[in-house]
Amino acid sequence: MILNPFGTADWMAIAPIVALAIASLLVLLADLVARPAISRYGAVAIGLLGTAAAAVLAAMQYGHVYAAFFGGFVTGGFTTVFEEIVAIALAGSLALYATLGDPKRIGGTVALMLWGSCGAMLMAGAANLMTIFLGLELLSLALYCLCGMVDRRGARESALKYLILSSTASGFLLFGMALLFGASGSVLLADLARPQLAANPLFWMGSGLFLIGLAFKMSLVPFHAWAPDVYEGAPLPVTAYMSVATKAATLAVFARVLYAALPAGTASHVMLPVWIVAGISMIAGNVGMLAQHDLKRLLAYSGIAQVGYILTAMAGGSALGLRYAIYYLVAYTFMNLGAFAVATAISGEHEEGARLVSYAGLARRRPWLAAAMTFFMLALAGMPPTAGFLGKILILATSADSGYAWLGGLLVAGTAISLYAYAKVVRAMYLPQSGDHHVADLRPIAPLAWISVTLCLIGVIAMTFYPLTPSNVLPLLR
Amino acid sequence: MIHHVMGNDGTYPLLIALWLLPLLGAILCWGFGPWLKARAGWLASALVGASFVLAVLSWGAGTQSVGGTLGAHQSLLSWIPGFDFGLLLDPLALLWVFVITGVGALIHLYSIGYMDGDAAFARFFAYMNFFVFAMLTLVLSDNFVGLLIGWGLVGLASYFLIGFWFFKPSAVAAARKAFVLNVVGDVGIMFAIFLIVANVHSIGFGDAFAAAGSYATPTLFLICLGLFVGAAAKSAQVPLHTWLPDAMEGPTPVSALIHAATMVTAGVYLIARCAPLWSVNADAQMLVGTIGGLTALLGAILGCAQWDIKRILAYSTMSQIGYMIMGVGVGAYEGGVAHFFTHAFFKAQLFLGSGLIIHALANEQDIRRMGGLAKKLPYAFVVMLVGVLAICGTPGFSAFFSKDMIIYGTLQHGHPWLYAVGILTAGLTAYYMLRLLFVTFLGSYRGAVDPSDLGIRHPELAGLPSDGDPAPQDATAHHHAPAWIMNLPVGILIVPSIFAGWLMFGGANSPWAHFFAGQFPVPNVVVPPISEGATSAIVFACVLVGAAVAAARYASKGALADAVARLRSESVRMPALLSNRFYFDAAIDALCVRSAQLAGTFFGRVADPHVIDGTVREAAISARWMGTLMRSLQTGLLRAYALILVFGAACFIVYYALAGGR
Amino acid sequence: MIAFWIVGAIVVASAVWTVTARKPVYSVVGLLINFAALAALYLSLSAEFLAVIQIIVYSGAILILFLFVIALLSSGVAPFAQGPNRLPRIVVPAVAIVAVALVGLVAGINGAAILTPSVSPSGSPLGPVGSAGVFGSVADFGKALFTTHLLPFEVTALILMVAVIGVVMLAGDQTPYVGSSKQAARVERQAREAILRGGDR
Repeated sequence: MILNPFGTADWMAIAPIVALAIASLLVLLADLVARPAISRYGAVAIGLLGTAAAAVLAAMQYGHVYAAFFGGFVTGGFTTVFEEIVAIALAGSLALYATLGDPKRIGGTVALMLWGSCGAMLMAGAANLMTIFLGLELLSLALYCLCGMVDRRGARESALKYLILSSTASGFLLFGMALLFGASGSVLLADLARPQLAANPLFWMGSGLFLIGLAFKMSLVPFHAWAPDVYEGAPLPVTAYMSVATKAATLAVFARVLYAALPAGTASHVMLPVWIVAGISMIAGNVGMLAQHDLKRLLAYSGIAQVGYILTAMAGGSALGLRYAIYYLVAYTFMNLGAFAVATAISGEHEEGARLVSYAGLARRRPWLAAAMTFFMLALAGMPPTAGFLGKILILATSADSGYAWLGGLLVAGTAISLYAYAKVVRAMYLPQSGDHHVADLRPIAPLAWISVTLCLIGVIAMTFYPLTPSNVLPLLR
Repeated sequence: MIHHVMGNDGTYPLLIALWLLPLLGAILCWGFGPWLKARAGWLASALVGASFVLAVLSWGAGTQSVGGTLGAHQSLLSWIPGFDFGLLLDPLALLWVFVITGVGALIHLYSIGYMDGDAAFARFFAYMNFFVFAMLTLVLSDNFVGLLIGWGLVGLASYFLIGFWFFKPSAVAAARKAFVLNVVGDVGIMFAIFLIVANVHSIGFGDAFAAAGSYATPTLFLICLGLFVGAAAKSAQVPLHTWLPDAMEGPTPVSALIHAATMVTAGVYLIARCAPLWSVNADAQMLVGTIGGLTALLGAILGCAQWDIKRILAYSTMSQIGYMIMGVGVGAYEGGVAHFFTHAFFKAQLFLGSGLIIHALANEQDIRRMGGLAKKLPYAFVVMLVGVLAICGTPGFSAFFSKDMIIYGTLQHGHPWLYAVGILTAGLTAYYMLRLLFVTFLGSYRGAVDPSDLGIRHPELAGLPSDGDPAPQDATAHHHAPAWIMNLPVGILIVPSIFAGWLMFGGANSPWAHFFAGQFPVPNVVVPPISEGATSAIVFACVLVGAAVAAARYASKGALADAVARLRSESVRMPALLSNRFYFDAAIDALCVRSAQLAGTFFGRVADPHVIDGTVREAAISARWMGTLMRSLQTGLLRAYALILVFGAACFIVYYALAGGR
Repeated sequence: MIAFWIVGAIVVASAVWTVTARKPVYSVVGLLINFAALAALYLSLSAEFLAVIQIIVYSGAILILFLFVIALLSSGVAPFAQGPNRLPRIVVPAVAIVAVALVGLVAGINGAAILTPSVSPSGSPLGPVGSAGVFGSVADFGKALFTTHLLPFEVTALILMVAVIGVVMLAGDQTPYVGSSKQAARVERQAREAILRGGDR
């Protein structure tokens, strides 16, 4: 009988997650004892410290390949990269809470965000169906609560919608997992790669249902309907977090399945529906942006399309494709967080920054902020001087190589459509304010908001010139 | 994979300096504008002038030829192999740099006088310097992405400068139109870059051109098509030209620099730069040559029907760029580039000259309300006269040489139809430019005549003072800027307007041919049945006919005596087709600008019902969670979402059932 | 085998009833039958422990909670009396397609052999999955829970905590989450005043 089957390496593997969990408990504790005046900054500070600790601990695992907890959680380059993306998203959204949100609930909010990130990081390294599901549920559960965390009607409604639709999707995911388990007799992803499974109908149906669940979380088009409503209703920092962390974590799971958990030679057939919905998403997401007057809705549709771009990179299943997908994902993380940071910077308690009309004449009131927003919009649109453009070029090159040129074509078409929508935001800022009915806000901008805008800007620019090239990601995946 | 780099690699600090100086100026003028005040103009002009001096000093580097490798190459940063960024200065780039910085410096100087007293004086020069920097980025880049970056930035600068007087709604509308159409072009170039990268895994010119022979023919055509969409949008080629006349809402120096001399010729540069691609694809050559010819002709026809002095010049710009595009399109690269060179001088001069008139007449831009200005504004008259003589291709003046190179080139490369179009357009050019000159300067002054007597039906639309440049309004109140500051740059431009063409004299032995030796691919030319001399004679004869018609209609004694009635009848009887500019504006508006709005509205109604409205909101008001839960479950929308989800899931399930059951 | 089909039919039928029942109480009863039938299925698969847990936790605890909630909140909420709306007609073909696909799947699986490996290819100690009689016993279950599947087990604890804290935070509408006793007193006073005013917020 084994009494203690786990060693230091096992615990170090999940150390980033443990760090976040501990930090969240500290936040709750501090919230109980601290005076309300400082509880906001205390909570955010502890949260940021915990995030930093998690990021460092995750970085220490880089290149250290180990299957912890009997293969439940795998460390190595791939996991580290996605854990860091989650950490960036978490830090970026926590910083936004320094100015927004109900002070009474700030402690719980930050704690929930940290717990949600535990789930997201778990997904980043999950190599077994159970860990994947539990990570996903942990993340989703925290997000349902976070969405409803403000006293606005839309927020409550958003939380409910998310809860109900997401549970439906989780049902599909779980059913798919059950069938996969039935087919392979194992919960380990690696066991799904056995060649005998290619002829087993259970495996195919299981994969299909499993992928429906993932497609929902990535908000690909027939499964996307929740995203705009939920984004619109949720508080700004939560929307920022959701738009990046959920996508990154789900993409991590998807990439692991695609690259390490399919019988040889079946990838193109198993994943075909995903590529198709990715293609539809690139068009429909960008078209959906055209009609929006709310920044959060606009970015929700933008996110739908952006996931399509990232999947296009992976379509061929090549190592290079994964590398480019990660590159684009990191760039997207920075530009999306940046856009939300700008929106938060000009928001008060009514979240003015979420409405496009608040941007009219911003260039005159706050030229630097407007310039930053312009840059983020150009990056999201994939216009030249930005990492978004280079990312798209790389994705296109790899899609042509891997025989998915049709996805590349849809990418170009989607990009063309999206320019109108992103230009709308830019135009609003640079044209003079039409009418004075909305108050020209000149309230001071919190230093932390400035810092997060600047850091995101640096991030996007750095990505342009110094692309993250985790060339050793693929060997570490299994 | 070996990567090909154009130019001799080395370290060229002068090159980097000449590229960055205008950026420095832009930053200084923007950041220290309130402190610099009027000095901003001098600073900006000095920096562009310094850039020009550095360009002259870089002559040797740019024209060096080592073992067939032409020009200088300076690496800036390495990204991943094939995706490196650097600067390339070869004769083609050098020519553009000369014009951008040389003509640019003169126009900056002129602007000190023209914009004097404007509230945003420093900001104007920040934009202008930024434009020069962006344009230099465009022409100095050694790769497509750098080019596209510059391409986008000049568009941005142009957008800001057209909309500089943002309190004019027409200026804002014009800026928006230019922006939208240029975005169409940017997407075209982006598409071409994607195709190139997909094929050669590199963004460098060297790699893309070295592989010119290895693309599949349809792919190459698509690449050229994408690039040409960009070129057409930027260089106002049919049917993407409609933004250019509207862009005249910007200050006149902007029109001179951006919308006449430099930015709008970026398309010519792009095609000349990509000559190795074009010269191996006859279809692309045919397309570009035809569109160029068509633009030349249409621009000239529309130029005959305009009354606004700047719009006449805008259509003439469009027509002249049509010539250039036609030249580089059919393979007469040296001719097309030569016409860019001469055009930059005389068109800048014409615009600055028109600026002198507009300035003096307190914003009047309608030539029907001018007349007899030769006596009032003799200097402007001389300037305009030389410019008109130059643009018409009068023997000895610059355009005579460059235009003939293009027209004869079309015949050499086997396009007789374009040859005919070129000659016809030359005649029309003479007609509408002399019409401008005669109506403006001869006869008697009609400023006091009632506008409706001149056939101006909508005075408020046809160029009332409020619609013109507002700067001169302030000009009445101040007399700081000396007159020479506006007169001198125009005077300097007269010299190259007349003599620049002589560089091209002498065929293969001309300085021009020597300068460009080795730059362009040398295609096979046919020996045309008509000699070059005879072509010149035919063109000149055509010009004379045009000039004679213009003189008879506008400069004869009877015409001058009866000017008011004649102008009125011409205005009133203007065919609808012409006064509506062949309906291009309406079509483009419907197609590009409005379709986006329509699509937005459509999808807003159909595909994206705005949900946090209506019934669900009512339900959500209830603070009782259970009630909210149940009601949300029962509203149609939530269920519609679930239904969409289930529909997608059904499609998935059917696929996997079939795929698994194989 | 016959028992499987009978229990299976009960599971499906009770699930349909749960969704379509006019009164929520009936839905709960439907769910109860569903859970019980599921427990029977577990038993037939020799997962005795799971079957017992299913009865105790789901049928015993969770459904009783549901009943309490419905009894407390349903009074005065109109839609409860009407029951859920009928689904639109479009659903019919979609449901039909899914049903056909699933039936086809079952038909296809009947022939296919389901893998029952004794040890997983990746070498990790899987436990003797699928070998009847051992799998599902309490000892086996406990050992798996604390060795092979310790990580998921711990994560479950985290999920429960998130659920508890999250609900407390969301319920903060009525009883705000407060940082100090002084503030708590103020909030309580405000709440009392609100109730005196007639308090429907």
